[in-house]
Amino acid sequence: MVTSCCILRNGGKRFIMTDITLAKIEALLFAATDPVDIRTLAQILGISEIEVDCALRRLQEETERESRGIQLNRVAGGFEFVTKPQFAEIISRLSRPKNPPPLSQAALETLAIVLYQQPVTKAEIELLRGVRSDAAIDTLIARGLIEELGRKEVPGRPILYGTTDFCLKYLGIKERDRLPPLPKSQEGSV
Amino acid sequence: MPLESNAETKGYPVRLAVFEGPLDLLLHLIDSQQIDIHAIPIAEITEQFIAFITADEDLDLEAASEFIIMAATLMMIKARMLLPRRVAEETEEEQDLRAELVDRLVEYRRIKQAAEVLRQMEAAAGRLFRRGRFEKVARFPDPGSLQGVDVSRLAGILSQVLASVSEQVHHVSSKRISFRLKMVQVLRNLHRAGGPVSFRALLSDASDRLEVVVTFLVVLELVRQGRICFRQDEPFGDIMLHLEERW
Repeated sequence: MVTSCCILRNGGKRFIMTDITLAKIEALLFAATDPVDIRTLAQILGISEIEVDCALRRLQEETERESRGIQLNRVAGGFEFVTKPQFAEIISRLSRPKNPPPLSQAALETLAIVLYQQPVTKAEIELLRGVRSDAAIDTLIARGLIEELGRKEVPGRPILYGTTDFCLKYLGIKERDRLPPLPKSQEGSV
Repeated sequence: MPLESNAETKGYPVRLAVFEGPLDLLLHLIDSQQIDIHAIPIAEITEQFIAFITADEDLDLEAASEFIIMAATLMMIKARMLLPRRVAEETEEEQDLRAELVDRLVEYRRIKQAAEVLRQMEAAAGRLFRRGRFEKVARFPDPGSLQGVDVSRLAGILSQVLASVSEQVHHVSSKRISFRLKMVQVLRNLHRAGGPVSFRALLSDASDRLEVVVTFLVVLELVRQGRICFRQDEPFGDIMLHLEERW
């Protein structure tokens, strides 16, 4: 049996990791319909999260090879297999991907506000954009990118909006609390 | 300078509809002239802004109102600046309005930049395919080029298609339910029961929605005529019907 080891930075502790562990993780990620997080993988396989982390790193190295068409994708707090981006064109020749049309400027601006300032109300969105945003909010809800989180305890109890897990997948965001850095304003104020 | 910039704004080939709103237009005016956002020449920008919204003839009212509010704010700031500054309060207020506008513009610019980042992420993520991210259609043939097909050719094909379709008219007859007959049925039911009958029970042999509607209308009519009484103990509860004594 082929084995490999993984050395941890803290204290140089060593693991003996068998290829069968990699194979099991590969099978799980292939069969899953949604990204699977490290904790779930560890529980199913009965190994530590650190070991899973090492195995995932090995899997990633392996899929990075030129002979592989799929890659390990870290998204929405979990891992999944996706095709490599450079094959998007040939895949669309095979059949028509279910890609929705790209979001409009209004929807993107609204989504940016919700993503960075959630939970946020419609009035707050509209103040920032300076225009009515009902249509954009409706589009984002219909496409499953934002959802109602509850009500703000101010007069009128307006609806609070936040992003969904699907939104993280849609944009390829790795973790909910690790959003891409918001561009700094050039003037350095605010 | 105002004249020159006016001419320039009027000559813009863009319509108001391309802007997401008044803040977007304002940012466009500021950025295209490379003006420092914290040192906006209010008088000039106000003029350009108004020139822009008046130039667009087919601006719809809904969108226009937001632009007009912004124009009013700009004019207010401009007017306050022109007033002799005797009262310190006024100057402060003018500063506040201006500062608030600058803050909103700075914040909106960041949102636009963030939206651009999201657009790139959306495009990048759209190139990664999970299993099952496809339509049911496994393959669809190349429809071929439409080059060389003109309107008259299309018209010819259409008339051929139309000619080959023989006209077929289907008649769908609706079931007729007699109001009078239904009324007799309801009264007979109530007579036979000798006591209260629930509205739901009356509907038990209704064959379709139309019959339910007619039954309900019959009940309403009978109540109006004072021939039956009804009772409903709770909202959406069953309605109990019974005959008025004198009938």
